[in-house]
Amino acid sequence: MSTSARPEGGAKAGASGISISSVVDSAVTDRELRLYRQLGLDHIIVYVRDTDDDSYGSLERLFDRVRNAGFTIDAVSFYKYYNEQNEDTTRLGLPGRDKLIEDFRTMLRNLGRLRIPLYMMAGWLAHRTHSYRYASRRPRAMVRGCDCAYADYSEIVSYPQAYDREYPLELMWETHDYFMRAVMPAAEESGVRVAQHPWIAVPTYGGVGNIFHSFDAMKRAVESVGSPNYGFTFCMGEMSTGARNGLYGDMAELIRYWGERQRIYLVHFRNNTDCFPNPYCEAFPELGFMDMYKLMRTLVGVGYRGSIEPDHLPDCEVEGSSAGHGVGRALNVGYLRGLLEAAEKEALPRGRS
Amino acid sequence: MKLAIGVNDLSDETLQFAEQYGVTHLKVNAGDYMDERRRGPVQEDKLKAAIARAASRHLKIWVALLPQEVGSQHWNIRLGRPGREREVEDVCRSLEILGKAGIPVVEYVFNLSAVYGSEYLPTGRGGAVVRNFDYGVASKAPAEPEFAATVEEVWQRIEYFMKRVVPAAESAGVKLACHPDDPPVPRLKGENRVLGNIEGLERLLAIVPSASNGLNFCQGTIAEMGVNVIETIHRFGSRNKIFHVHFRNIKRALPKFEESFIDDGDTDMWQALEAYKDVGYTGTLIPDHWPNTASGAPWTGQAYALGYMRAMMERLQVLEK
Repeated sequence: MSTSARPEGGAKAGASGISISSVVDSAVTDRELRLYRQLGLDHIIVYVRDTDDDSYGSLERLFDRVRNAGFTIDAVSFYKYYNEQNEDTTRLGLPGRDKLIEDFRTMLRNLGRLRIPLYMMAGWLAHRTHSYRYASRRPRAMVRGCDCAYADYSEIVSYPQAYDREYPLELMWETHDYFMRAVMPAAEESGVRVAQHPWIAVPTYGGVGNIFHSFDAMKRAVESVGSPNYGFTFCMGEMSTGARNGLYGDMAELIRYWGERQRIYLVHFRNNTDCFPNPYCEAFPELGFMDMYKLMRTLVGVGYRGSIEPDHLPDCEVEGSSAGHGVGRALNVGYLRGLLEAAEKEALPRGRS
Repeated sequence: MKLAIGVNDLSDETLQFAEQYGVTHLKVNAGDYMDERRRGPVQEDKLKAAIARAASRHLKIWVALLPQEVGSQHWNIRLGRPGREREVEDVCRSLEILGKAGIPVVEYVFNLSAVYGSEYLPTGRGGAVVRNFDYGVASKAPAEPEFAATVEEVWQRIEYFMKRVVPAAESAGVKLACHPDDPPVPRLKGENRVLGNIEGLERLLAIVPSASNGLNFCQGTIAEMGVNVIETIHRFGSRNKIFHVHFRNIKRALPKFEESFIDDGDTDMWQALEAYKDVGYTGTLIPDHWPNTASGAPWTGQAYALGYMRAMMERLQVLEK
């Protein structure tokens, strides 16, 4: 019988080295942090609010607070770089981008000094098409009695032009490469990696190129940035939209390809009911079209060592009731823990006594 | 196997939680369908209303627990007192009504002082509040005069019950699932507890050998006994004696143990689930107990357990959809 004692407090170390993490923003309360520890999380990703002071001293206080609550910080992101003005300045190549690049470099150096290993980006989109995409995910369908976010391909490709001109794919590539080539030396010097976030499998919508729409685009980005510190947040929900239209392909193959090349820096673990060109809902992991166990097993098998973050879930919070806030997250984290343990047991049979 | 929860009511909130969190089957308290003192037979109209209510949320009532409270339906049987003849009739009539309504498993408890001696302390992972039990402390509790009976007297009471009730269960088509005494200590508050060890459970099953005489396999209680949980699943499961499972985990064992999150205890839950699969178990699994978390929402720990159980059950291809 396996009755070997496990360490008190915190999750037991998995044999695979994969962690389950959660995203919090800089306003996270001590009580929420305590809850995440109780749910067995000891890795975390911190989003710094746009309104926060992002000076070194202020970040140090924030990260100390999170670390003192028992967490390893896997990655950080700053809303500052996605607000309308800043996102459009860097993505559309508007005047002022060199100042933002300078800020970004300073931020990366600060992260390095603060021992944060990873900066997380959120795709390379103009602000309005970034937001359109979120607007399209409004709840419109039900899964198991829960509202779930819904996306409709025909609606996305017929979005009206978002700006007074078009921003074609090649222009977006130019701004991406310009920005990334300028910031990556600072990332490398500071020991910080940068994770780009692949987006839906639609090359252009709203009149703006969406460069991260395919496997080929991921390869092109890695080649043109040319940095060993540049990789991806493997967002299964977004990438799987291109599973059958020839743009991303099979998720397990993508995991193997990028895992073998050590370019998977984070994983967003999510399933959808279907993929483009069909409409789909963001589903519970077990109710989507991908076999999530197979994907977990592939991550373990390819030697991935980073964090897996439970991503969007149908909205099954029962307002003002015993179910209340945090219960949906508990379900999702528990599911991931069970799936990870099962994959570790089967892929690494001698992993845990 | 069936992913289930135990419920204390069938409110909108409870049923919504069950449906949304992927539960398909319920364990209910049969006492809710008896008279206001949780005595007498199960009343058919109350039961039917409950079944219909659950069905409106795609949920099936699979297990009904006979009341365990002081003074409830089979209290005099448990104490070997006058009045037990009438109580046996009530239990048998209840089994008939439950069976007719399509509820296949009826759980019962024979001990008198339930989980007495448990303390709820922030000793769980991350300071979560969990049940702690220390026999060194609990064994000093003063005796309840009413509970005094020798071990053999307790067995005679159990035999009285089993010999009358098991045949009724057979003809009603229901399975009687005994919850082992929790905590499984030999003596508590003056009560001799004989169903808190493997030998006692074996003796219980031998009183009336029957396909209707089996166990609510409370995996937590079995682990508290300090025995090999996986082997014990095989021991009873291979003979089809497991009718319902409390799928929970603990740390350590008697004389001193504490409950834990499902993935944080001493039992390897993957191995346990494989063992239920190996013996061909197809009944219900419920989280039973769970730690109280900082979320303030009482079901958070249960939701965590349900997610964990579902992932493993799907992988082992044992989850009944």
